[in-house]
Amino acid sequence: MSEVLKIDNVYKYFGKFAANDGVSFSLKEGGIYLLVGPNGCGKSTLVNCISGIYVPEEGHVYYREADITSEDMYKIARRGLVRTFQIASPFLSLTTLENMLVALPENAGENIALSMFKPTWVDSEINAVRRASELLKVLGLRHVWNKPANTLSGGELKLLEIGRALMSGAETILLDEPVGSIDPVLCHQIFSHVLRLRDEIGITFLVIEHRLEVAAQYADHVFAMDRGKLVTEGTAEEVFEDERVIKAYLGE
Amino acid sequence: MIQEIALGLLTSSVAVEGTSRLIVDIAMYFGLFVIVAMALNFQYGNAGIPNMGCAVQVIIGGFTVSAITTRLIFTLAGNAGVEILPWTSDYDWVYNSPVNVNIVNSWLSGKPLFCISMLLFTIAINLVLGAVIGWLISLPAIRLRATYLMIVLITMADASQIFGRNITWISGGTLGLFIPDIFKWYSGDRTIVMAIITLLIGLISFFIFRTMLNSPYGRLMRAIRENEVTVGSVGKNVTGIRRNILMFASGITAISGALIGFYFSYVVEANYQRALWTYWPWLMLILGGPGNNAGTFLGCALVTALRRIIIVNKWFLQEVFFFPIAYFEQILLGVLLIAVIIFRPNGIIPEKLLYIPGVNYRKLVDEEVVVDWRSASKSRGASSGISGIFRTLGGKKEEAGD
Repeated sequence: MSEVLKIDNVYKYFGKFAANDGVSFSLKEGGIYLLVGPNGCGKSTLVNCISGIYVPEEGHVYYREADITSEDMYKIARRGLVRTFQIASPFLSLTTLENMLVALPENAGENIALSMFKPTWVDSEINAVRRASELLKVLGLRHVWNKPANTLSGGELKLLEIGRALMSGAETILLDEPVGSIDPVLCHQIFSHVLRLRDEIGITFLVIEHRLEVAAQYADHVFAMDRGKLVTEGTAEEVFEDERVIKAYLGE
Repeated sequence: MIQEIALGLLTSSVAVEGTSRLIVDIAMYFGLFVIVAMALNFQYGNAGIPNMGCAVQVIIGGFTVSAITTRLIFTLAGNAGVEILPWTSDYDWVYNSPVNVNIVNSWLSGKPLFCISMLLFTIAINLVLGAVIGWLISLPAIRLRATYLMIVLITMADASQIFGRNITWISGGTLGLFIPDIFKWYSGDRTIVMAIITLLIGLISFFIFRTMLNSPYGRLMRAIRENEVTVGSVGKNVTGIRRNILMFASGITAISGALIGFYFSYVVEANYQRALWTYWPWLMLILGGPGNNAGTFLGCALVTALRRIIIVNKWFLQEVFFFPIAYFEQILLGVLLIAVIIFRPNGIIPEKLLYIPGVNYRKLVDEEVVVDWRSASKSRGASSGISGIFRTLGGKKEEAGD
């Protein structure tokens, strides 16, 4: 298993407050990694640094051995490193299907010049719809394909986030709280999708999640952060028995 | 009946008057404003770029006519042996302009093909220069959020007028500049030909914009309006797309500025005020329904007709109303804007979100075709820009070869 993502000593400051205080770790291909830590410990900042929303003050991020530290967000996404959002952010007035279609990287009709000439893009649009509807079927969202995204439920929106990332041809997905505020049954469904995607396509996942009782059983490897630093890592049992992690979550 | 009127209008050798005059006038202004309003619908209604700088895009058209087309016609006339007064220095350029234009006009009267090619040349150069100016105004502003972008673009519209006022070689400064009459060859009333050409260009641009909005590109624009960050997170260059939209819309909008220059045979910066070329199109868009092509068309027709009828009939209206009527249409702008926002915030025809017409989405979703959803799309990257065109067309060729 080769190394896909390497985070090398990343520092990110907000004023004098170090949100990421020298974080380093690496992800291997085809793993499901879990990143845990109390609120405000810098998990989301780290994901923002990786996906290009923030530029870290120090340190480097490598994706498949290419330095992506100060690259634009869209360039990083084109490399195959796609993130989802903690608060699901779909295109509210577009339907579920259209939400998926927007994410497709190669669509001839999205060229400003070709969009004027319909015959040049109809074929690629039809292929795009087929692919999107197949993906919706895989994720169990096909029955809502024609609904505007602002009428979807919270769980459906979380699935749509994953679907959009898949549609854009992701090879590594950063899932920011995929099961936050989701009922227990749907939680396991979402994670079973994650497992299936890992097993069938070999997608690498970095999951940020607070609901450890759900997430821990699916994770291959767990990283624990506290106050901007990586505290410990290992299998789920090792990490959750670590005193520093318990202290960080429950206090002294 | 309509044919008879049209033929009668076209072949009449006397000036059109009365109601026909008003109809030609409304048609002309409708043609001009439908270009600007549709371009604004393209930028704001769909892509969410609040372009308060339509005036800068329009003024480029006027400047092109005065600074480039007029010079070109003078040069060509000089080469053809027409004796015109000197025009190369700034002073001569302005003060000899009426005489020179008069001389050149009589030379142009026997050259319909030359005149039409000049018109086409102006339109072509407007598309290019408009796009360049769209790129220039996007440089400092395109990354800004809506409100700041608005402020920057308003400022640029004002700045462009100040450039025109103070740089004499562009459009003759405060005095303005006469433009050769490229419809001198037509024996009847030239305004009718001008109105027909303007309407034609307006309708063509309407259909171009409509086609583009009913394509995946239009969907991408609406997605950017809804949520920029998400579009960026799936690998689309939002800044680049917004810049392309601004450039394309600028190019089309500039044509209307050129057409009004030809219509008046005169270009002066004061004709391209921010109020006329930015706030009125915004009223048309908001009244008709932002994001809706038919709504924009309707709003444009209503507002243009109302405004021209008021302006033309001010003497008559003054007898009816008790208050001074001089600024009645400006008052109307304000009142209409407030009324629309209170009573129909989404416009007369609100935006309907539909799938792209001509692709049967329901059938495609329902049919059972085995698609390998596992294979990630192999070639990643931009489908926008020039390289995207070549890749798409090149890909087509390869398939045909197989």
